[in-house]
Amino acid sequence: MQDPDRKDLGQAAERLFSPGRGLWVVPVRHHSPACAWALEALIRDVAPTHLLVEGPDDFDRHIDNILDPGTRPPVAIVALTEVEGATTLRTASHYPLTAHSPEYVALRAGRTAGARLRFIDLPSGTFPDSPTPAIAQPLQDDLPFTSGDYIDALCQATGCRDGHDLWDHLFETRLGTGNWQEFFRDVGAYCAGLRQATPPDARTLRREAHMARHVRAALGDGAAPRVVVVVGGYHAPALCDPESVTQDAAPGAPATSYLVRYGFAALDALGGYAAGLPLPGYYDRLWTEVQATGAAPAWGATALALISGHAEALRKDGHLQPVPILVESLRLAEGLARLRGRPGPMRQDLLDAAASAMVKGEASDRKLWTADFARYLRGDRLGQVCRNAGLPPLVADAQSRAAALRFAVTDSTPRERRLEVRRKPAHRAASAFLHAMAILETGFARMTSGPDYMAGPDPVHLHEHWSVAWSARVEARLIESAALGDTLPSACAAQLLLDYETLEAEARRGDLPLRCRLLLRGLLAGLGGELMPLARRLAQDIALSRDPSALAETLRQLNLVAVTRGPLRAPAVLDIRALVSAAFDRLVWLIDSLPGLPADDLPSAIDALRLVNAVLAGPGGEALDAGRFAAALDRLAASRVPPALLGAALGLGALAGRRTEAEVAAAVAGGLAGMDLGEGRSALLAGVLRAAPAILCRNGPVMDAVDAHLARIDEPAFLELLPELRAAFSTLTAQETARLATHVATRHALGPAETTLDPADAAALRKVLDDLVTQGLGAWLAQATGERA
Amino acid sequence: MVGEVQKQPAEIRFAEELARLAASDPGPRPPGWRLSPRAVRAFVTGDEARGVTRKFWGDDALVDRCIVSVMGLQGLLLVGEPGTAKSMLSELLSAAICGTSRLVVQGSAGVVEDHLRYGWNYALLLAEGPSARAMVASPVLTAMRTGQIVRIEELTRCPPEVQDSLISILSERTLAVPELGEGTEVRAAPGFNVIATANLRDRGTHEMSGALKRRFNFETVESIRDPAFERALIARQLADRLADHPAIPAPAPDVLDVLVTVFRDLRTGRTAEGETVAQPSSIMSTAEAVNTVHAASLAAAYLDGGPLTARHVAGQLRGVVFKDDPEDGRKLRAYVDQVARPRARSSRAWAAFCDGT
Repeated sequence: MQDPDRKDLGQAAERLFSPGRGLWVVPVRHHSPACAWALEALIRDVAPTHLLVEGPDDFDRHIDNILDPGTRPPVAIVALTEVEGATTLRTASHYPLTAHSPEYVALRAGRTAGARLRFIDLPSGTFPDSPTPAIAQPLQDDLPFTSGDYIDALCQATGCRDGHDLWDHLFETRLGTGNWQEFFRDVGAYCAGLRQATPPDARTLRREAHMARHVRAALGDGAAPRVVVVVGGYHAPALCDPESVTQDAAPGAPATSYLVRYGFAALDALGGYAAGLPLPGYYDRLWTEVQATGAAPAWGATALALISGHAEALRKDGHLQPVPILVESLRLAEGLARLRGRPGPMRQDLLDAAASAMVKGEASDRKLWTADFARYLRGDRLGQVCRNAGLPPLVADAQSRAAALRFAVTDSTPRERRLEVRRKPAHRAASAFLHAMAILETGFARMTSGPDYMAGPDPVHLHEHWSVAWSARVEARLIESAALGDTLPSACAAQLLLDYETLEAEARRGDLPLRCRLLLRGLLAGLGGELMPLARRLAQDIALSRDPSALAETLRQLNLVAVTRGPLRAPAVLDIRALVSAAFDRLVWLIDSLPGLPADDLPSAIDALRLVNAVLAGPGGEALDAGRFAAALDRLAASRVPPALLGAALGLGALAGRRTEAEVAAAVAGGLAGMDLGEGRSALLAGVLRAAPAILCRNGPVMDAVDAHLARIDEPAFLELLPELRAAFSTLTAQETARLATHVATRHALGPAETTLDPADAAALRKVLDDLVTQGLGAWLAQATGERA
Repeated sequence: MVGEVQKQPAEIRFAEELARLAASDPGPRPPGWRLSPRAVRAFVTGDEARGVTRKFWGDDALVDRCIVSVMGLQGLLLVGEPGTAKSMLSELLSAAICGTSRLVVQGSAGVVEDHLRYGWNYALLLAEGPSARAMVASPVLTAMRTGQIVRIEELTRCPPEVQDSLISILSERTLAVPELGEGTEVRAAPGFNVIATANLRDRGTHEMSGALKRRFNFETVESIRDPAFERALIARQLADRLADHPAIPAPAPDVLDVLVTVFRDLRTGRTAEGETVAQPSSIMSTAEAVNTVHAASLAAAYLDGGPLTARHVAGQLRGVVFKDDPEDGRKLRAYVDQVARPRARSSRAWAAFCDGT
């Protein structure tokens, strides 16, 4: 890197304005009010015939709409370009304009002066694709202003924090003061240094060549043209001498573009450093002040207004800031400004002061503490666009569908809707629309109550209740999603595919059910064939899955879809049955690998087997080959398996009728009587109970075996076994426990009152009572308990 | 006097720089301050043009905020992990602002109110009764009388009742001394303020009351983020400490690299390649790194009679850094096995490090 020479910088600044030639090249920084102010004065004085602005030249057709009285910034031009090789995904690039953007101010002032207005950059179709499709990228580059050795060195010399702070310190402090000649000369010198420190790349040179061509054309147009060129400061030195910049390049294709309303929040989020000064609300406020007074803003009063405005906003939310903290905040801000040599507190000073005054503890990340204040400074304004400007197709599609389904899109009052999705097709269509809007996270509708489709058939909740409200934010979100597709279904499908890829990138264990859930959401949104790519990916993942519990849950979900006749019903083209079979096949295949599973995963594996059994026994199970499942379980039982798994396999086999219950009973009895320490003895029983609790409740040989064992052992052995038994029996649900207790009571001819005990406890209590009787305390017992003895 | 004590206060060590700054300082001075705020900042962060060295490596914006805090009526409380140079910053600021860093109260569980207000010379008290001669002023009272800065180290180690006696001093800026007569009080002269330091998360510290917190501006001093910075700092600190042992050479750069990398990996829980590392419970601060390399240099020079290698560093690591948690030893072992050994294959310094553990 070559150190910029002071003389060179001065000379570069001098060359910007050549009144003799009729050319004024104005270096600006995007969204800088100081530049806008000086530029307005320049245009007033120069009275140009041509006004050229840095921006894709296919945006010329939007200029009239931008200047239409019905359009109020912040607005943006959104360009949608096809991504090479992808059929549905596109890149969305945004060109924002705020009231304090030099470009916007220039267009207005130029129109008032009667100049010809033109954009002069390469067409929007040539801008590079965003690295993450469907996430918007800015069309205005700002990188040189915020990074690099030149900026770092200047920051160190002036004591500024970063490139934004440096710009504020050097130039925004001059807002409303001085004359435009001096201002732009200084900006020019600053930017010439930038350019010298970071030489341009090939793409920048191509852009500058294109811009120079436009400048030459303007200079040759008419008798005595006066051409004002408004460009980002980095490019200004190149355009001072347009004849010298020649390069043959293919002009490049335009993209479809729309003028849309935009918000400060979206602007701030558009890439942080890469898109101009942050926290647009703050700069907008400065601009409003300077426009109102015609002079520099009263920095101290502005700081006071911002701090108290923020306190007021907090008070509305219910957080009260004590006044001493606000006073200290203001004092710190002014002190910092004085220490750093500024006329008044700037953005960074305000943020620093707020953090220091408000934080009362260790702050490992100051940004968290100032986030609320930063949000307040950023502002929430949404702009407006005149009627003539078209809308991106997705927004138009969503609006027309909403209107057809009788949802209001003209105001933002929330309304309630009750949808009987099973009975009325029109309601079904409305529900699909609302689910689709939810997939795109537009915030248009929220389900306040309704069936949980993922859990299964729900006899209780038959209807969906939604709270619906259109708002400018919904529109903004649709505009952001415009890159995903032109119609609502295609955009939803693309979004689901993106979510699928995100899950894949995160690659968490056992996330197969989550991926399957995406498919179900798409079905609820009424998507049909658009879900084919998703279904294909899911099929691939099922075939490769190695997690039995995740597979079992996925099987359950897919089976639900296959048998339902409600909103989750899938079109035949998706072939859900094939997916169900695939999941089943893979599970059966995995059963053979269960013996190698680590001990921690055994309970979930047993649950998986139980789930498969339930699916086989339920609706849709007849389409699956239960015999293969049973055969796999047999193989499992025959191999060396942990006792819990063996119990599960035996129990399920008995339920299916392939084994006699006597076999199971023998195994359980063997386990209980065994010499295993720890959980070994009742592990088998635990496995049976977890997988097939019905066995124990059937009052058959297994119950006999357990009962006999419990009756046989003496009390110390019983007490030793008790914790394991307790753990084993805890897998039963309340209903199963009640049923089991009834059986035990009947078996031992106990009255109903005694059946509230855990059956193992009941047997123990019975033993103790018997002991008491044999020890001759029967009379006492009879007295103590009344007639029972 | 120089050279006869282990450590001189900052205003004596850097007396020349302070004089130079005072002479060439045109800026306005707040009441009671010896230097203007810009000069104080130059003293702490360095100013090549005036021949002032940088003394605090960290966030310059933090220094700005500290200076502006002390200008006002709130106290300044520096918090952060141990070993982040909070006390050093406090010392530098008070030396520059009021010319003395020696008005210090050392916080501990044994601090009583007398340490913060005033005590008595009991012999004189009994002999003459209460008088100004019998009163022993605390550093706080002295600072109030002379309009200087009082430093309170480890504020949160003081019992809460004692901490709270600062509340009225900070808001009323006056200390009543009823023993010397009705209505006798000492009002703070302009320039009085308190700079306190605290470890908020250590054992043996008390919670500060809300009222006291409100009277302080909190500033968090963080560990150094830039590895190159840290390396340069460690090298300089080591050179200072070894000034008494001229025979010991400066450490080789690759040894310092190993030291800095080990400390950063264990401190942040993440290697440069992105692998996660179990963090020991002892704080792996820059100060500890300096201690480690200091001990290692001495061991290498006097016990082994050779140059400093990473093996000596490894040998000192356990003793200097890991205080009482046996788990830390295991974590170091895991770190050596998973991270250091692969690196040892391509670097001699890392191989030496693995040898020493």
